[in-house]
Amino acid sequence: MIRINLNSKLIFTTTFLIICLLLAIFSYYNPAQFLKLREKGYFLGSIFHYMSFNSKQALTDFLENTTQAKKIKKESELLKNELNQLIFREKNHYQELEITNQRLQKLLNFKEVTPYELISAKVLAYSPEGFFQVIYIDRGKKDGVIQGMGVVNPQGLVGKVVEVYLNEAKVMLIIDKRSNVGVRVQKTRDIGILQGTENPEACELHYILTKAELEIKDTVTTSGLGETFPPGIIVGYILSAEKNPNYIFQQIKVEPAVNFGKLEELFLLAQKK
Amino acid sequence: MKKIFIYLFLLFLALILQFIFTGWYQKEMVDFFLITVIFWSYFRGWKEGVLAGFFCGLAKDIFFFPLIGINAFSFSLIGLLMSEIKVKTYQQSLVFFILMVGILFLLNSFTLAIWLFFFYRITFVHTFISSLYPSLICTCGVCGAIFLIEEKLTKSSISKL
Repeated sequence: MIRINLNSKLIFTTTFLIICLLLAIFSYYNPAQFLKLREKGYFLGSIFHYMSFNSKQALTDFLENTTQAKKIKKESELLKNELNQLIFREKNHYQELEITNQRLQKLLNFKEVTPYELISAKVLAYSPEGFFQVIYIDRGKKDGVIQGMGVVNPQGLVGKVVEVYLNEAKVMLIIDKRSNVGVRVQKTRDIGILQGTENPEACELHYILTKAELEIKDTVTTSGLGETFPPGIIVGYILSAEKNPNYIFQQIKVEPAVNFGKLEELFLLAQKK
Repeated sequence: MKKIFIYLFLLFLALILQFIFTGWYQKEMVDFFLITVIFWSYFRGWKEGVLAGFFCGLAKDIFFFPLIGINAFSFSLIGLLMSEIKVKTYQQSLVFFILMVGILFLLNSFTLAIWLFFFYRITFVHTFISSLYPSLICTCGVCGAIFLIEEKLTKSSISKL
């Protein structure tokens, strides 16, 4: 059975091999006989060659274009990103820098003209319990801050340090109800005590006699009597003054010089220069 | 009938690919006819392998060779040998398959070189060596890739069952 199988294989293959050989010999000696067949083949071949060349060209172009397009897209994204950054900087950062620069310039001027040793500080936070009562600043024991130190900014008196930590301090604002500051009306030299009302727009000035002749917008400064604050620091301006003949003292409201809604940079009054 | 159509389709595909690749690289990079014969005989047995080899070889002779019949001779032989190797060895590994393809490629180049020398007195060594690089490596690579794809497809169809 195996022999038959082997024989059939051998016969089958040998037949084809012989046919191939005969074809080879015949085509070698009579190439003209195969010319038509070859011509058709070559014609088909030329079409395929043309297709091949064109497809290669198309593929190369496509790849080149794709690479180029990718490059351009990447470049455009980079440029867009850069442009956005520049726009953002110009809109936000540069303006902020300019404003900060102006503010710092003012602070510097203030520091130069003030006859006290000043420690600069920044507001860390407003107290969440009483928004216009207490603030936290970024200076503490480490920086030489002690309890009772006065806190000012270029506009005027802000408050005083009530608690000191290692790296920060708590400042009670003059608009706090618990705050009492010894003040003097600059023009008339009348002395009184300024008390907070928790209204950032107005404080109360007590103990000014009814006979005192005050005017609206008169400047109120620290008196220097309490030793907490040195004299002459602007506290505010008289907003209203009511005289009642039955009372000894006037009912006066003072508008604080400081805008407590915009506190940023502050100074701690250390000692006289 | 279906088998014949599939074979004709593969032959046509091999022809187109052969033309495209030869046109692109200006030399034979991959022998697609040989690949067709190898896989056909590997999967369909010796008889169909010899037939496939004969017709593939004939097509290659008509389109790419000066002499009709020598590629048909070589490919018929390869068709027989590939199916015989598969039956005798029962090997299914990729390395073995690529090795077999390499050996059959060498045999093909050897046979062609002998016939060309015999008919046209073209130097045997030159014909033999020039047909090896890079065609041998590329053909083995393509065969290996097809073998892997086929293996994966078979495995997935078995796992589906």
